[in-house]
Amino acid sequence: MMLEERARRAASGIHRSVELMPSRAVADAPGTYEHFVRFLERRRRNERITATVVAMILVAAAFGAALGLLRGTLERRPADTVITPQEVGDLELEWSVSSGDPNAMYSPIVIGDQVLVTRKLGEPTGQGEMSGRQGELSAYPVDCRDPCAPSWSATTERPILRMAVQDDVAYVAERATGEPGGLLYAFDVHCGSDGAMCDPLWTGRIGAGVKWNVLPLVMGGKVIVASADGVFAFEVGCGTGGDRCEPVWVAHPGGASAKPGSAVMASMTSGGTVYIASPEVIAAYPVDCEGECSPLWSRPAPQPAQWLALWDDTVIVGSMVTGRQGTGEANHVWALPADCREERSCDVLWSIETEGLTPVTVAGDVLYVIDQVHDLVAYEQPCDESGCRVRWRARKPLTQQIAAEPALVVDGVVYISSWNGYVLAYPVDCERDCEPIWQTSEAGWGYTYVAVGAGKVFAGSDGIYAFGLPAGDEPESSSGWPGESLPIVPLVVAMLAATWFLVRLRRRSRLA
Amino acid sequence: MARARPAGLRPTRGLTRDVRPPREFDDFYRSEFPAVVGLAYALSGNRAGAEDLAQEAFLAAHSNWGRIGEYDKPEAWVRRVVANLSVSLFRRRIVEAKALARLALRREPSLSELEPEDTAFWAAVRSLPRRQAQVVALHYLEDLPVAQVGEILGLAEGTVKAHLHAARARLATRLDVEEDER
Repeated sequence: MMLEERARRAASGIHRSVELMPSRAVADAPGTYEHFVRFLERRRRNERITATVVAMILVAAAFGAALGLLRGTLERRPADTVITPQEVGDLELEWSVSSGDPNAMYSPIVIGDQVLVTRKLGEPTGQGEMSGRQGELSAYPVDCRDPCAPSWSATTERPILRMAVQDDVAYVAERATGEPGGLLYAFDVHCGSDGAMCDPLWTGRIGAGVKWNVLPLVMGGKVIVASADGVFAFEVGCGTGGDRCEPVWVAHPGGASAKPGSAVMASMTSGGTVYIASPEVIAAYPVDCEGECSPLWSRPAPQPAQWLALWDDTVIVGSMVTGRQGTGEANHVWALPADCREERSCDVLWSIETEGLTPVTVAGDVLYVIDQVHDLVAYEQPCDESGCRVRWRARKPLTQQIAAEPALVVDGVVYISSWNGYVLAYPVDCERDCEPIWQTSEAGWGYTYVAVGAGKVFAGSDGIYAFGLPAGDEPESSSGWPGESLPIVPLVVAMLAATWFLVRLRRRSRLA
Repeated sequence: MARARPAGLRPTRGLTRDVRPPREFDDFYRSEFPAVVGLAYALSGNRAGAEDLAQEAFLAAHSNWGRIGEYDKPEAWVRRVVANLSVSLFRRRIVEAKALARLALRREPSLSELEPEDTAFWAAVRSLPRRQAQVVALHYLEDLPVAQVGEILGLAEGTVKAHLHAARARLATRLDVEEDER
């Protein structure tokens, strides 16, 4: 048989099959126009249902996405990262830089994606560990990697220790002895990169005898530093090109009765007031003072004061009595009214006897006192003449001394450090006898400072030691790609649904 | 991008959006449905699904009747649609699923079964490349000249001839028949 004939016969078969369709003879049967109209109505109804379902999916997905974004925003801090009490136990040493000098006293502070560090530079050349030494301020990336080098550095003629940072300006005070005293330096925290050496924005003379736990205070457009020669306040923006600034006001808390070398031992600002503690007096000054500044109030110090904190309307003073062993006099934490003006009583409200030094910190509604016998004690209200209620005590896990630094409280974790390379962490909501939830002995060699930020814990001693969470356990970051917090699944479902619907709508016009 | 109107199609009529289509479409459907469902049957090989394919093609025509109805030969457009639908693998799968559902509901296909020899012929046609199958079906089923097949499928006359020539050669081999001298 020829192909043509076979094809004609097959076509006839199709024609015959169509001719025999039952619909040809029955109204509204398949194949009739009425049947097509019913098919059309059914199809339109289905399309309406589909459109409704797709719209519901899109609304649900959009709602889910908005909810996810909102939750991500609420859970994250705007400019930092968080190490929770649940995570802190996983901290591991990430990177370190060591000078090998246990007296270098690296002191860190975290600013954005940098950790700024002060340290003593050089070797002592005379009596006293400060003689002949210089100071250095360096900035390291928080994610520094081997070989880790500073982004920028700056040196000072004399040693510096600790700093204050506000509005991207770091303030460091020289610890000078004798004439002509030291300088306060202001550095732009973004002043250089690739190891550049930076010059200060401005400097100001602050006298001699800045004590080791006194750091600059920044408040109300002023930067205030206390030394043995008095209190010096400068305008924060007083220079930009290395100018030498003059103080806008100075004060002498000891007054004419001050003993020679009676240095300011501690300072603190709150609510427009700067509080000063010296071995003789506790005094308060207005931040917006001018010229030779008179105190708002002052009173004799109950004991030589070393640390200050503010707890509601109470000034907390931590004392340090020298030669305690010989006199039998105990150190105390003293509570004084924050405002003694206009003949209000400046009497001691209450006190707590301690068995060691008394660095104090207030965080939330809790007063933390470093007592070198008990390590760390958390007090809470109410307080009366007999002292305050103990919320919890940290058990002493180390044989070495805890550093005489106020506890650092960040994101529900209390951090303390030791005299020789230990850092410990406790949860703020501890109960009674508190065990550390994290401790490390990998923080170098020498007196140790601690700082927390950018999802890491930094310890400064003979170098800088950065502890972070292991990969895959890192705290949420707000500085990375915003999409990492997006709810991917609902968005993909919504996109697929929308695509399918659009394809379906357009399909018929594409067929031809 | 604007789509080129098939050659020889001239706009003449408008479209209303009523559920019940205008009278002109009614006439068009009644006159063209048998040929369209036959083409769907030949190219899909699915008795139960051929009617669905034809309905889909007419549904597309109805939805665009304002434009399609103005063509000189809307029947050419609806044939192109059903030819494309019938060779679409995706569409075939849907049609087969619907056919299975229909069988499950014990609904008999509207189209009757073909003779085994005819079934074998159309199966061989469907095994050809898509364009060749469409060309063969249109040419033999409706006895359309090459020019008209090209008009329906949007192909040049020479292209249709080439497809037809290749299709004949393959069909002759597969069906073990002699190819005609043309």
